[in-house]
Amino acid sequence: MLEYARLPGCSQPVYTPEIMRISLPCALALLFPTLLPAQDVGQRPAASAVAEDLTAELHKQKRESQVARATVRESEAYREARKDDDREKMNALLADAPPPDLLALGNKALEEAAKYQGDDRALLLVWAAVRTRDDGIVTRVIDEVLEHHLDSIAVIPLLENGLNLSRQLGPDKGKVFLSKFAYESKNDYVRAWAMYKIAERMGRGPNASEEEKAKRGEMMALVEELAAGTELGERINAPRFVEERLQIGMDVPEIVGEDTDGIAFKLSDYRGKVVVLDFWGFW
Amino acid sequence: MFPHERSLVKRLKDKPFALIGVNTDPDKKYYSDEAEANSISWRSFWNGPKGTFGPIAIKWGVRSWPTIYVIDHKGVIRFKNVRGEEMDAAVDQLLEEMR
Repeated sequence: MLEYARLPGCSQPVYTPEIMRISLPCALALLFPTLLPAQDVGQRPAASAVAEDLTAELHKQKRESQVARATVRESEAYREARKDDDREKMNALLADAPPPDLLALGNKALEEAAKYQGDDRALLLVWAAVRTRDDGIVTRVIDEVLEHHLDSIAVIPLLENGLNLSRQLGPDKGKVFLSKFAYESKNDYVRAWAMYKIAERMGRGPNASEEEKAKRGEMMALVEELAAGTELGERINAPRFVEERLQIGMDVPEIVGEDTDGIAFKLSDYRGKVVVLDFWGFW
Repeated sequence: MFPHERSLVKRLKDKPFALIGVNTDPDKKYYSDEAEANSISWRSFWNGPKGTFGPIAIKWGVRSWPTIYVIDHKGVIRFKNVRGEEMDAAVDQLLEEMR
């Protein structure tokens, strides 16, 4: 099929012998593509690219905010306020270095989400909820994904943050949120994540009953089965990995990855040297 | 933590020694700005956009920061979570074993 057939208003391939079959808007679109609303011409960027741009913008605002805060902290006025232990003044000075505008970014993500369907839409909705944690946005997004995106793999960041979001949604909605994914999603990985988050808070603490502990074990076993070979599987398996592979005297497991410049390398490249392996970050 | 690691790397720059990081900053640009400002010279795996919840740290069950493994030249884990002078002593001992 020719590329042109993707134009809006063209339900049939354009390049057919029966040229008369081309509908009027379709013919016009072919002749004058600029007549169409801008967003319908050509291909929209992938939703994942839109999300990456939003993340980049969020990171940029965070960096700017951090620099601005550092500048305020080094200022004479701030130092003086600090010397006097004048909290009010300190906060007032820091207000000149505002944090990222999460609400604006979240609303932008929602606006972008509205242009997409299916997984793409879910991806952007979830971005808005997870990155902003804004009550209004979170509620709206959860309502929409529960209604339309139960089976979408794109909801996983929502589930990863599931406990915090459940609390934020309040007791009624919070409970429904995780259990709906756990029991009604048709996607096993989605189910596994939701169940993991439910099981995580069960049977914990000194007051946990035997029954709760048993149920937790049962659920975790099911999660392990559903999540075998996935990142969630590795997360659940981590204590075992530490126990069985990361003890003193054991051969260090291989790490294959990329450095911070994007260049591939592996830990064993440094065999023959004494290595200090340091998990760290500036954050 | 950086000043100590930095001086260790500097002191041992001519020895068969490497400090390898697993960096868990979700924002690479922030990492590179800070790495430059703090004269970080060692190489790090990047743990991906999920930061501390990225794949390497999750698989290795890392919950506290920094987490440190000292590995000898044969690839055997010999020390865990040594800091400061203890880290220096551990590395010196392993370098000595190679002679």
